[in-house]
Amino acid sequence: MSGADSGTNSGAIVGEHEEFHLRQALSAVLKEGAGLCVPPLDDDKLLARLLAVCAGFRNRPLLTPQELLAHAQGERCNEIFRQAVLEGFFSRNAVFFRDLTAFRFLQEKLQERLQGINQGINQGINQGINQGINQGINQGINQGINQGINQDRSTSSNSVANIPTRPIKVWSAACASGQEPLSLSILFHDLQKRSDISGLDFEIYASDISSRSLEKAKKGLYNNFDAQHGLSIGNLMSYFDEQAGGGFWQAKAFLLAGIKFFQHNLLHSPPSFLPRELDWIFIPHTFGNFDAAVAERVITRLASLLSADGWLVLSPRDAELALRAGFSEEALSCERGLFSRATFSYPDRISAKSLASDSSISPSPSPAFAEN
Amino acid sequence: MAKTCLVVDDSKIVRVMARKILEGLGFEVFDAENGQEALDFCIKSPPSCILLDWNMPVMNGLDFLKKVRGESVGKNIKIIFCTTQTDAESVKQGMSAGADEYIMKPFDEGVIKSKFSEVGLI
Repeated sequence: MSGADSGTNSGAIVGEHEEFHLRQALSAVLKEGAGLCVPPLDDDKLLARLLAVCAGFRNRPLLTPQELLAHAQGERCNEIFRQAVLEGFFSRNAVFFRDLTAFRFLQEKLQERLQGINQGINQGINQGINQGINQGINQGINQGINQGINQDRSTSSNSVANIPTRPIKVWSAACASGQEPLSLSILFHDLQKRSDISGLDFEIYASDISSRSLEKAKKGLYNNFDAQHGLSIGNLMSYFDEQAGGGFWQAKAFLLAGIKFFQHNLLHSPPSFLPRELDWIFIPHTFGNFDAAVAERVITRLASLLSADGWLVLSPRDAELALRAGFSEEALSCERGLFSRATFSYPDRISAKSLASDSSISPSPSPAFAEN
Repeated sequence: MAKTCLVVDDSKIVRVMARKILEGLGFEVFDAENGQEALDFCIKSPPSCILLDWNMPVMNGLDFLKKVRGESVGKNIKIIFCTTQTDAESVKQGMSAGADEYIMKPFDEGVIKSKFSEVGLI
């Protein structure tokens, strides 16, 4: 077997006593469990991955790929088996600051917003001073100066209090081994250091379907090779510590402390602690292997979680999915892969109410797994 | 005109691999086996950038870096260390001596792209 599609036609793996349709069975599990399609690998490679998943069940040394897939789907699905298959087939290469366009755009938007806030504070202070001086002139120099000073204080503090300084809320919805949320955390910390910006508060949420990836993400420990993919040496030295013995770099505690990690399958309703008015959702390089109909519904749900001026970050190649999910053409003209909530409207077939309910997204029907 | 990159490494395998990646990124690539060869090259025709190993015979990468930065032709060359010296102290030493970026071996095309982009070479 040579090409990626070579196995599609036959799809049958012949064992000693039985034959089973690997692609069909695997497709059913992946689609039902996470809306995924079978990766474009030949049958031998798919089988090798399944055998690796089977080998993970040390208490079931005789577990075969057929049994694994049979138990990982349907109404009597064994969740442990299903999760193991999903973990074995849902892996993404994560890189720091992978989507530079999106990170640069986020930085620009944050600067605009924070400089606006700072400008507001300065205006408040100036108005207070001017108001105070005018009143002072009318009421007598000494009294006026006193009142002016007092009013300056009160007016400027009122102005500060009235300026919305709610935290920026970002969700890295398929964070894999953690490079994306850490990149966000680095970006926010860099902005906090700048002298022309103050009042930046942020909340980062990071989730993944894979518990294995999530454990790695929570640790924030990367070998030399992974640590330098996308990360400048300056950022590596500022935000990571070399592990004793060398070869590994540990993200500094304060960087990880700002991130709330949780396991999440995008087909399910988001957990209640996740804010419903997020400013940014990052989920690029995820939908390439999704069933298209499922991906559209997931994107629509993600859009429903954004604040009115929020942004969804997808891959440029997800543009068609995003349009079908409810974003308009205008969203695409801005930046590639960036979709403004302001251009979104619910498709006719989906209502905001249905998305808000505690429901899971069902994949379109899969061909039944035929056990021979 | 294509940007030029001088690959300085005593390992032929590394030089060949780096050349392949850099040519793919549009660079005209030259190579040298040690710091002295690299210094002679730079004085005659300074490249746009240098991918520099640390441990080499005749003249090591750190000594080369200090010397080339002392030459007028070497002040504006982007220099990226590419070395097995991966401990934090070595990184600090290399950066203090005037490197613009730092690659820890082993590397691949992704790392080269990321680091070269970081210093504005691509």
